[in-house]
Order: sequence, then structure tokens, then C-alpha cells
Amino acid sequence: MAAFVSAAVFRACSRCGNLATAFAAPSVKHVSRKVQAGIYARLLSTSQNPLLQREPAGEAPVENNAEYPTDYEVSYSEFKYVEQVLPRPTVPEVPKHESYPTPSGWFPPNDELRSQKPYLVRRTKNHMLPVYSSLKRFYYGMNHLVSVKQIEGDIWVLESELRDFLKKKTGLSIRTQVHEVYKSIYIRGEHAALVAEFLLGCGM
Amino acid sequence: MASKVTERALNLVKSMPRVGLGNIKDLPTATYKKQVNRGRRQKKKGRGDKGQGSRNTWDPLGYEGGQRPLIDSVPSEKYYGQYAIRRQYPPISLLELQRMIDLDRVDVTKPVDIVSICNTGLFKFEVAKNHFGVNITEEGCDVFAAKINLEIQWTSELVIAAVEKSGGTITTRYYDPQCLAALFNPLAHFKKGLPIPKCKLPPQDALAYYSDPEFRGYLADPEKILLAREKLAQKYGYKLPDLGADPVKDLLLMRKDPLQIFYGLEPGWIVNLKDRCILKPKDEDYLRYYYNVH
Repeated sequence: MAAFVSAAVFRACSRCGNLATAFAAPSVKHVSRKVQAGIYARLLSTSQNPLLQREPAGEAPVENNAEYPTDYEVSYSEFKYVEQVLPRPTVPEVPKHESYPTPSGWFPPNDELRSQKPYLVRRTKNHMLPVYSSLKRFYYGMNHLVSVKQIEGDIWVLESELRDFLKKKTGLSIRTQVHEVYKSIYIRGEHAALVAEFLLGCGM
Repeated sequence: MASKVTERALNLVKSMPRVGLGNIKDLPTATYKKQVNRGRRQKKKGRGDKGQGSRNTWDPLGYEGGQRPLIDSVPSEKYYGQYAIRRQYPPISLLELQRMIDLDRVDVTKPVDIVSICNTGLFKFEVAKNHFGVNITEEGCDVFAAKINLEIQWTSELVIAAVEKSGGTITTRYYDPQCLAALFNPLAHFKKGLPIPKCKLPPQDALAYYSDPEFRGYLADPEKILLAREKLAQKYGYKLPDLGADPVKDLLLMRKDPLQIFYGLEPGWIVNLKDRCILKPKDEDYLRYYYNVH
């Protein structure tokens, strides 16, 4: 604002030819009454307006909390019940069972069997086979699609063996698709249970 | 060798200028779409003279000129009637529960409830979609072999028989949506610093189910539940294991208070996760709210 005032004073003084006063520091005397009123109005609005005045920094307002009850008891021994309720951060290892399959029909991968094959299908983090069935829209309509993921080694051998197995079991022509980069095989039709049966038979 | 006609045509094309955007033209056989005259002179804009067509006052859909229409004369089954306010119980089968137990996703040495099922991360559950808990379905009732203290929200008679045959106990329990939000993700609830909520009583239409000893309701008379257990064992023809002589009797008979939602933790308590402690407010009004039904 000071720059604005000084520029106005400079212009007014230079117009009337008084250059000495034009270069001197601006004073209230040289400013017209109208401009003066405006300046004082602005000054009033910022510094002397009681509504805009703030409290000095450093002194936070103190609230009176006496009417709110703050009495409480602290218990450390009962925190064990909270720990029971909290989720585990990772998926636990499978406990050792007396016999397999377990009541729900789960059994672990057989390393001896699966080491004989040129391919490998690893279990997921949830200890299950990475076989997923879904419904997908094709140009001829909806159809089931089974996808086998996380395949390592020779994917083409697995694809041919799987196709032969499904052909023998179902007597249908099996349409498969191999995605080498994504390490997965897609099979059309509702064959998820048979695919799982084949993979479990291979010890995967 | 090309024929004379082709040769002549090629020679003609050679002498002609190149085809470009400036000289390209439609074939004489091409048909043109008749352009609609949008000028000021057209009065009716292709909508004819007067009537419903020109005034957009068609009959409503299904209107048959005044006679009773088909949608009124054929009775309808309101499959989705009051869908928005119905309570939903997303299912999980006994087989899936057994698989969780086999793979140590659910701890059997402690009572199993909706918290332990949600904490596996294998169960989809959304409170915002009117989900009121877990419904245990009958698939895998023949292979179920775990001895557990199970607390669920909805189930059938066969499931109750399968759980009790293998030596366990089962309870159906109602939780209100606010409690279910805390039960679905206890960690998120504790992080907010909110007190553990108290559970409300079931609504009018669910009260009969949750106080029925045949469905092992949590509001039913415990003595009637013991009778119902024996009755069910006779119906399905299995021998009921003796609960009194069981080594894990305390675990199997552990129950929550109707106002309580976590085992060992009372409503109104606040959990401090940072200092690993529990804060118990002592105010009288506060306790009166959290320890009373209303």
C-alpha cells in the first residue's frame, strides 16, 4: 500500500513541477484529502478494528473441563482379550495332521511325485491350488472358463497332458489357450473339478 | 496377357490425373439419403397433424385402452419385496468352515464367532449392504468333525445336528449393525478410539428366532436348550456326547452376555492400542447407559 501511495504522490508532484518534493519521502501533507480518507479507512479496517484484533500468540485459551467426568480405571491384564480379537498379520503355516486328506479333503503337495514332471504348479498363499473358474462372455454367449495360474517349467507339456486327461474323462473336444508370458492356461467349459483332480494326481 | 479392354482401361488411367480429395466423386449408382428440410418454412417437423404423436402424450406403458391390463390381471410374486430393509445373512458352508479349521485359519481352542470368521479374510461381509451376520449352510455336514463352540447369526436344523454330533455347541446370536461394524473389523474400531458398543435386542420379527431353543437362540431358556439337544439327537439318531464330563467343558459352555460383543471385554470400555491397556470409565451415567438394555 505504501508503494501505491508513493507512486500517486510522485505522479501528482511531477505534474505540478515540484520535483524536489516528488523525490522526497511522501508525507500526508502532499496527499489530497480524498486519498487521505481512503488510506485512513484502510488502516482502520486492518489495525484498529476491534473485531479483527487477535490475542497475542503463545497464550492458548484454557477450557474449563471441570464439568466433564474424567475418572477412569486402567487395566493392563485384560488386554489379552483384545489380542484374541485382532487379526493375524500373515497367513499361518499349515499344522501337521495325523493323516491325509484332512476332514475337509485337503492334502499337502507331494514333492516326490511332482519332481518327476517337467512343469510345476505352486500352491497359493492360502495353500490351495491356483485353479479358478469363472463365467465369461464369448461371441457365442456365456461359457465357463477355467484358468490355471502360477505355472513354472514346460507349460506346453502340461497343456497337452491336461487336454488328454479331460478328453478321456469327458469325451468332449477340449479347447485350451496357453499364455506363456502370464504363465497360465485357460480351458473352456466347466472342468475346474477335473483340472484340480489332475493336478492333485500329479502331486501339485 | 491382359485383354484389350483391360489394356485400354489401364492406358486411360495412366493418362488421367491422380485421384485426390479434390477430384474424387461418388459412383453414379450411389444412393443419397433424403435430407430433412430444417428451414423456417416447415411447420410440423415430421410429426404429422395434431394428436398424441405431435404432442408427446402417449399412453403409459402397459395401458390397454381402458380394459384391465395384463400387469394388473396376472398375480405377481414379490421376490424382491422390501429388499432394501430385509436382513441379509451371507452364507458360508460347514465344509468351508472345516477347511478353515484344518488350515489353522480359525482357532478352535477359543470360541468361534463372527470375529474369528471375518479375521480370516476369506469371508465377504458388508454392513452397508444390510448384512446382519453369517449364515452357516449345510454343505459338508457329513464331513464336519471339529469340536467347537460356535456362535453364528442364522442356521438350519441339520447344521445344528452336525455341530452337536461332533461334540460341540452352537448358539444363534443377533447383533445390531453398529456392533457388526465393530465385529467385522475390531482393529479399525479400536483405532478410532470409540468405546466398545453395547448390543441391542433383536427387532420384533427376529425375536422369535433368537429366543427359540430349537435354533439355540441366545435369549432362550438354557434348560429348554438341553432338552432340545437330546430331542435333536434322537431325531437324527446319534449319541450326544456328555457335556458335564468333557475336559473342555469351560470352553464349550462359554457364552457372551446379551449386551456384550467381545469375549472378556465389556461394553463401554475403551481400548488403548498404543499403551496396550484398557480404560474403564467410572461415571455413573455412563455405566447406566452401557449396562442397561434401554
